Amino acid sequence: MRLLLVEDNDTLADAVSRTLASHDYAVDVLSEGDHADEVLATQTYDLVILDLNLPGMDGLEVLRNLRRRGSDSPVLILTARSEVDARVTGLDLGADDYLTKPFALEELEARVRAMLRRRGGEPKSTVITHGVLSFDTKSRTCRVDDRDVDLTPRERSLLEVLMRRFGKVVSKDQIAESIFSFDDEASLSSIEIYVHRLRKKLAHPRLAIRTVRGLGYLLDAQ
Amino acid sequence: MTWDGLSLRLRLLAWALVPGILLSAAMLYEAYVSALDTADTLHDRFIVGFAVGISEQVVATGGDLVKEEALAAMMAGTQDELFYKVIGPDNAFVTGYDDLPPIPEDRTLEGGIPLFYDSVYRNEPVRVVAISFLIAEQDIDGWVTVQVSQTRHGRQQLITESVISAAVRLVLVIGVAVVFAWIGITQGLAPLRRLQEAIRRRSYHDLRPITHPMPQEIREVVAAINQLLERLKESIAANEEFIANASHQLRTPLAALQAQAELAVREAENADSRDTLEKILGATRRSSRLANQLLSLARAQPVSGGQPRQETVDAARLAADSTAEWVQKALAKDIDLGFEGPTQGCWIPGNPTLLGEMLANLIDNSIRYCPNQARVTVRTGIADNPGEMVLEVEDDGPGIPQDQREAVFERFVRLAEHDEGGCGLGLAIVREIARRHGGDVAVRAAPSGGALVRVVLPGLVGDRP
Repeated sequence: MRLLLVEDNDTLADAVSRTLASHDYAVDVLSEGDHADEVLATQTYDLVILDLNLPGMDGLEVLRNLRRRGSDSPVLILTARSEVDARVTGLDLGADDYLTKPFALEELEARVRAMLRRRGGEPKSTVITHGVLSFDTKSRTCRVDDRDVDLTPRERSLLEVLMRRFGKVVSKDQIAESIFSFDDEASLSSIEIYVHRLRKKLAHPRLAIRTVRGLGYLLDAQ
Repeated sequence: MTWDGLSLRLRLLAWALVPGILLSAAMLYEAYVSALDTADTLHDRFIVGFAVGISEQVVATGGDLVKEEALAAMMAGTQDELFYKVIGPDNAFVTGYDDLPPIPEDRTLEGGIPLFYDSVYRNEPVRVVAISFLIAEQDIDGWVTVQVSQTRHGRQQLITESVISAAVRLVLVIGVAVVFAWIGITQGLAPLRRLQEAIRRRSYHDLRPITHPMPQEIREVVAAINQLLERLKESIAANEEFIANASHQLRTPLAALQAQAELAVREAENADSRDTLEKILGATRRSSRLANQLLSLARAQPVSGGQPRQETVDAARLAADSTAEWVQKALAKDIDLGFEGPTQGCWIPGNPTLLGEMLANLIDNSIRYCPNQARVTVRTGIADNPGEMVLEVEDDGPGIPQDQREAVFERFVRLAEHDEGGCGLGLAIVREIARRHGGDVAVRAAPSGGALVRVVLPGLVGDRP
């Protein structure tokens, strides 16, 4: 994977490029906007990490030129401007994501991974894995710590929606939408019963379906 | 009270009334003088007529006596006492009262011309007239002088009545003038009061010029105030722009520092230097947070960068979404973060970014300052006042002491016992944004003893308009 980092702060560029290099990405680093514009005119990268405030040419201008040339390389914007307008402008011009400075390296790594995965199309594997828990969306089978867990169709749907939004709060309405069909008597209170049953079946010290009071449920794994 | 501090109303009244009263006094005096003149003219005419009547009687009776009936007829129509004296030719006393005051020495009586003088008769001030008639009759032949004295009661009464009626008229005029001057001044000063109200009602954010239509005299004052507002606005904007720029400029070096520190922590091989690097990283993160908070505070203030976009925002949904975003952070501290109230359908006019920032600060504050395993609840609802909505964050943490509940909204104020990496700007930002939306925020004690931060926001519409 070839990545281009355009950042005029050498110290930051150094830290970012070393981090990415540690994940075996090949990283080119540029510090000037006009220079980046020239390079991007001839070279193709799998991902461009672009600072907005650059000498030579503004980052947004570089992005605009890149998209004008028809490139679809994913672009992650780094910005010290937290104003929403700047973000919106960046996303409107065809940036795929943005990070506000200062950011945690882990966050950067996660974004880069996600963007490269998206670029690679849908993951070939149909298995979603989080910690000890894995779920095959095709065969709709669930494993915890290599132990097959036998689930009813509704429990499977419930697990799937929690897995797809892993670590995030899933509201009862969202759960109801995915586990009840139109004909079913959708009852929000019966969701609690399904959650209770699923908890019992998944029972593992490093897995938890947490109840978020008033909002819904969240699947959490350590 | 000095003249400078004297109320405008009193000044205007004084300028209107003092000349009015002086003028009235002059008019009253003039009324008195003219009444005196009129009274003398009328009564003098009367006693001349009386004297003529007496002389005719004297002729008719051949100089003997004046008939009682004739006298009564002539004296009708006056309450004054009248006395007469008739002196025949050769200064012979003919009839009447011999002791009437004589003609003053320095005056000479000429035939046919009445001569008036003031004197005292029977202990009363009197007016006397003396007239000589040339009579050629059988009994009397020659100049006959008739003197008539009249007490001054009638004259006095006439003068008193005229002066009193003039005074009554003047007092009425002044009274009516006072009433209308009062009303007029009140009306005239009304724009001042409206100006005062307009200024008083303003939020401290609102530095727009005053545009109320004002009378010309106040327009200058308003123009001066507007100039001051403009200068104030510029100065505040410059100040905020500086803060925004400063925190903006800090972000890139801080990002570099933070990234290097993180990398160093990862790469550290021995535990001691790893520990040190962790501390550097922690300090860097706190500095970053401070820069961010300074920036959001500057952004929450309206003067810099003009008015933010105002739209209709579902504050309940925003609150629910914000809460959901903070669940992971809460879980890391084993905090039970929950939500109560509607999760959608509380539309208010506002700026979603600012409101989101306000909610983030509220929730972050509770999670940050609550011990592990605390319970934090975000709540949405309708306020007691119609058209207002409430956003609350309640926790069962240590709470905020009564005497600190206002201080926590000040910038850089933190409760002494806490050191949770907060920078003391969170609640200041919350208050700034709440006030920006026409609402406010206050802290009280939660039933559990923890803190309950309550934001009230106006303009609630039940459903999307």
